[in-house]
Order: sequence, then structure tokens, then C-alpha cells
Amino acid sequence: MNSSKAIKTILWKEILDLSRDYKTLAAVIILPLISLPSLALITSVLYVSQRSSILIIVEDQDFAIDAITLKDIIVEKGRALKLELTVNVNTNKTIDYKYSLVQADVLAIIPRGFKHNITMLDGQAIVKVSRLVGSPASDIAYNALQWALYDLSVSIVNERIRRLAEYANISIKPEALRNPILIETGYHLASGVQARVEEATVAFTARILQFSLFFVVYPAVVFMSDAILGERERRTIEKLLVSPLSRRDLLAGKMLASMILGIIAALADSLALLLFFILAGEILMLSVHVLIAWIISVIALIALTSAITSIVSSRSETTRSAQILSFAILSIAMIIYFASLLVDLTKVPAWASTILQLIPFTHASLAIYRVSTGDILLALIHLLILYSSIILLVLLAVREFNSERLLLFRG
Amino acid sequence: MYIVEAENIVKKLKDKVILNNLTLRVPKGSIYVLAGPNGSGKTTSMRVILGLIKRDSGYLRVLGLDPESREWDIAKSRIGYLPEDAQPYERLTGLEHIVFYARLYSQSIEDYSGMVEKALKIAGLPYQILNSKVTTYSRGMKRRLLLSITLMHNPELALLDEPTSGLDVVSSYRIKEVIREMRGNGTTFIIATHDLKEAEKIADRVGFIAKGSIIAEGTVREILETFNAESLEEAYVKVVGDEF
Repeated sequence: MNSSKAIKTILWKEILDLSRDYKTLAAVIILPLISLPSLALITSVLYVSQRSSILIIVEDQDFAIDAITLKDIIVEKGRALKLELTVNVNTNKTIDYKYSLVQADVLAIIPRGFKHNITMLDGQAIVKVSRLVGSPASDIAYNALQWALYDLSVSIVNERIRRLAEYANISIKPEALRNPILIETGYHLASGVQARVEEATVAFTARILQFSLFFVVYPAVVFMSDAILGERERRTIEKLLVSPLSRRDLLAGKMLASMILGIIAALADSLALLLFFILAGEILMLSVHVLIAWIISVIALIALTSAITSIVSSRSETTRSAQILSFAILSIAMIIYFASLLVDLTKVPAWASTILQLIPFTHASLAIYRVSTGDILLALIHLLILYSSIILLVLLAVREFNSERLLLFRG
Repeated sequence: MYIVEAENIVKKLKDKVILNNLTLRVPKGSIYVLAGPNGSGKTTSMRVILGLIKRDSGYLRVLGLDPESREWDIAKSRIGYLPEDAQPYERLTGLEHIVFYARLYSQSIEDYSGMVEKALKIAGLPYQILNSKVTTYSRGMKRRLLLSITLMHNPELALLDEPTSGLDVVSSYRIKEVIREMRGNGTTFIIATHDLKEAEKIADRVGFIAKGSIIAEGTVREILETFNAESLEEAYVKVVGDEF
């Protein structure tokens, strides 16, 4: 039978069959598109809607009026961050401290002598702070308090500088005195060429795309194991094995179908991941080159995953055991892609680099990275290694796809 | 002339002998019933004949070819096989099954149309049912659908494993009718069954199989005469004794 017609026919049946498996499709395509952006959106909405409170106890009566100003600064900071922050000031002489701790997420005590210490040229004042343990709301309140106290410190230092300048009868810029070193940051590519901010943003987005490969593996394992062992479990494979198809064409048709659905699922997963980061406040930017490198890497990764899952499925008793074993093997890939979010894989020690280079999955991640940093030649080398590994594994998958093993399960 | 020639076929699985010097010859254009209880080696015999399972030793020629040879993939288009526990694809309609297998077996548009037409005739299911997913089908309907795609390409050799097992009277009758009609048109059938009453009704030749060996073989009349029995059931009991 004509190979191309055979593969097309199997592909048609597989796509038709899988496209009607609504539960699986929803789980691998629609669910990530809803769940990941929802995760970012709901978490950020809940985060800012937390009600946090600060209680400022003023023991130093000389600071009583300034405490109201400090309160206003904290409230302003909270408003800038769109937080639900309540700030109270207690200037009473008799205070129930235990009751006060129960009332607030953060308790700030302005002790006696505070005003004196901040007014002196070399005085150092102390604010005693107590934070409620285990509460993110307390963290929010603490950050707002710290921010406001930093502003207060800056204004105190500026005042001290002004006074010192007056004593010395000189003119000083307080900003320059406080921050004698300013950092002006630029970017450069691995080739040494200066890079623009946009290129740095593209490189950061590429890291997220490297990480997105983490999610590509799962749907391919599900579709491929079902295409082989699902057919055996549903008692449909034997008729197919005696049809005029060759083993190679049958497996090719199944792999192609799994790859098409795997790519759709990967697109959905990656889109969901990008949305997650955008909703979490990150600025992302894509270039055509990075997008092409990502698509080529995704296709390669799905082909690689399908070939490995096919080999595992040919030697497994049930779909579930094949999926578990495939995930166990592919967890190596997942580790690499997760690490790529935090680690520059080109800067690891030689021994680690050697091990990583031996794992085909690494090359999918590195190809995206190299393109994002402008090293197209190195990216092509990584893709060449990746696709060579795929050819070897597909040949092995065809050899392992054996009717006797499938029918009798002799792993 | 024999369409299947098997001599001393041996097949072991994990040191257990499944086929023990199995020898059978199936004449062209006949209905050969392979009769025996569950676990006697019927399904394994069929799988070896089809090249789905490799034999450990023995001589085998099917349609003049060794099923383990490279040329076998081409010969598969001349064969039809209905496994005992075969099921259709649950998410596909009956019509989609017919279209799928017609695409796999056909060489031309004319071939394809002829196969679809033939399958529709064999299945004998109303269009409305054929257009619905097979999850809504009864067991008999599913079996008829599977039989239709097994025989749609007019195979020279058809192997049917328990084709009527567990079916209602109407479905069972229709399947036997199709088998007889196609035998008349030149298709050779090998039918595995444990139902000896069924075997008696349709067989041209019967092979009793037990413990992976053919223990008796001949036409129904020859077997009844040889073992002085009134039915194949009685003959089988006389041959195997109390072993089963």
C-alpha cells in the first residue's frame, strides 16, 4: 500500500477519534488556557484585596504630630499599591500592648527619645516593630511601613546634610551626597555587540519560552500512549495490525496525529504561561526568530517525546503504566526546562555541561536561548543534534512496535 | 489446492507450549471450522497464520507465502480477519469505520466505492444507525459492522474468531448467511469456534483442536462416521475423553 496514502488514512482516523475525546482535549488544551491566567489574575486580585493593618503606638509624645504625617505617608504608599491598608495611631499614655498586638498585623512602637534622636545630627532612632507570623497580609503592611520609614529617613538625612552644609558654609546637593555612585545599566549580546532594552526583554521572554517546554511533554505522552495502548485496551488494534499497512506507516500515522494534537496543546499551554507572566506584571516581547526557534523546538520535542513514549508503550502492559514510566524518563526533560528559567545552561561547569549535552532535550532549550542571544549558527547546531536524536529514536520506536509484543504483552 | 498449509507449528509463550506440532491444510474455497474449547490454541493458530505472532518452528504457507516474510504486508490485502474480542472505535460512527477501512484496502476510487457498497450490504444497518456513534449499537450491530469491514474487500481468505458468539438469533443467522454467500463466491473461511452445534451447520471441513494440536480432521460426515457419533459434540468428547 502507498505509504503516503496509508499515513494520511491513519492520520484522518486518529484525528477524528482524538478530536471527539472531549474530556482529554479539555484537560490538555482548554484547562491550561483557563487555569494559568486565572491563577495569576485571581491571586493578584486576592493579594491586593487582603485587609492589612498597622498600629503605630507613639510613646514619644514629642513625635505625636509627626506620627500623623507618618500615617499619611503609609496610607499614601498603600494607595499607590492599591492595597486595603488601615493605619491607626495611638498616642495614649496607658496602652494595653497585648490587646494592641491582637488588633494589628504590624505593630510599630515609637519609643521615648525618638524625636530627639532624629533631630540630632548624629542621632540614631529606633522603631520597634512586631509582625504577625504566617500572614502575607502582615508582609504587605510591613513593606508599606518600611517604605514610609525609608522616605522619612531620606528627609531626615536631607535635613542633616542641609544643616551640615550651613555650618560648613558650603553648597551641597543632598542627593549626590547620599548616592555618590549611580548605576547606568546597558545590555550586550554574547557576540559582544551592544543590545537594546527590547533585545533584553526578548531574551527574558525566550527564557520563559524555554520554561514553557516543561508543559509540552505532558500532552504528547498522553496522546501517544493512548494511540498505542489505548487501542489495545479498547480491542481495536488487532484488526488494524492485519490491514495492509506496514508497521512503519501505522506508527508514523499515529505519531503524526499525536504530534498535531500535542502541538495544539503546547501552543495553548505556552500561551497560558505567557498570559500568566503578563498578568503577574512582567513585560514580555517576542521576536520572529525566537518564535520560529521555539516552534521548531516544540515540534522536535513532541517528536522526541512521542518516540520515547512509543518505545515505552510497546513494552508496557497498560496505558497508565506507560504514562507513568514515560513521565519518569521525561522528568529529566522537565528538570532541564524548569532549571532554564533560573539557570544559564551555557554557564554551568564543564562536567554538568557534558552531561546536559548528552541529553537531547537540552538542545531544544539551548536552541531557543542561542537564537535569543543572536547566535544563529550555534542554534542550528543544537537543532541538528536534536533532530538527529529524533531520527534514531523513531527508528528504534519502529523496531519496538511489534504486533506480538502488542497482542501478548511481553515487555 | 490448499490456501493454508501448516506443518508441525510450535509456539511457546514463557515456556508454556501453546501450539504443539499443529498441522492443518485448508482447501481453497472451503469453510474450515477450527473447533475446540477455550484455551485450546484456536486464537493463537489464527494469529500465527496471520503473521501477528511468530512461530518458534514449523512450516507455514498462507496464500503461497510465509507470513513472516517481507512480502507479507502486500498479501495482507487479500486477507480478512475478525478477532474474537474486536471492538469498533467508540467515538466513530459505523459509516466512518467503513470509510476508514475502505481507504486502507482500496487501490482506486472504483475499488473504494465497491468496498463501501459491499460493507453497507453486509452490515445491513439502516443509514440512521450507520451515521451514529457505535456506542449506541447493540452487540449484534457491532459484530455485523466489524464483519462488514472484514469482508468488504472480497478477501481470498477470511479468518473469523468466534463470529457469532453471544449474538442474538437474527444477527447470528445473518452472519452465517453472509459467510455461505461469500464462500460461494470463492472466499475461503477459517472459523474458530467452541460452539460445535454452529460448526456442524456451516463447516465443509472441521479440525478438532486440543492443547495446541489438531487431534481429528475431516468433513462433518467423516468425523461423525469415524467416531461413530451423532453430533460433533459427541465426537469431540469421544476424541478428547475426560481431558477437558
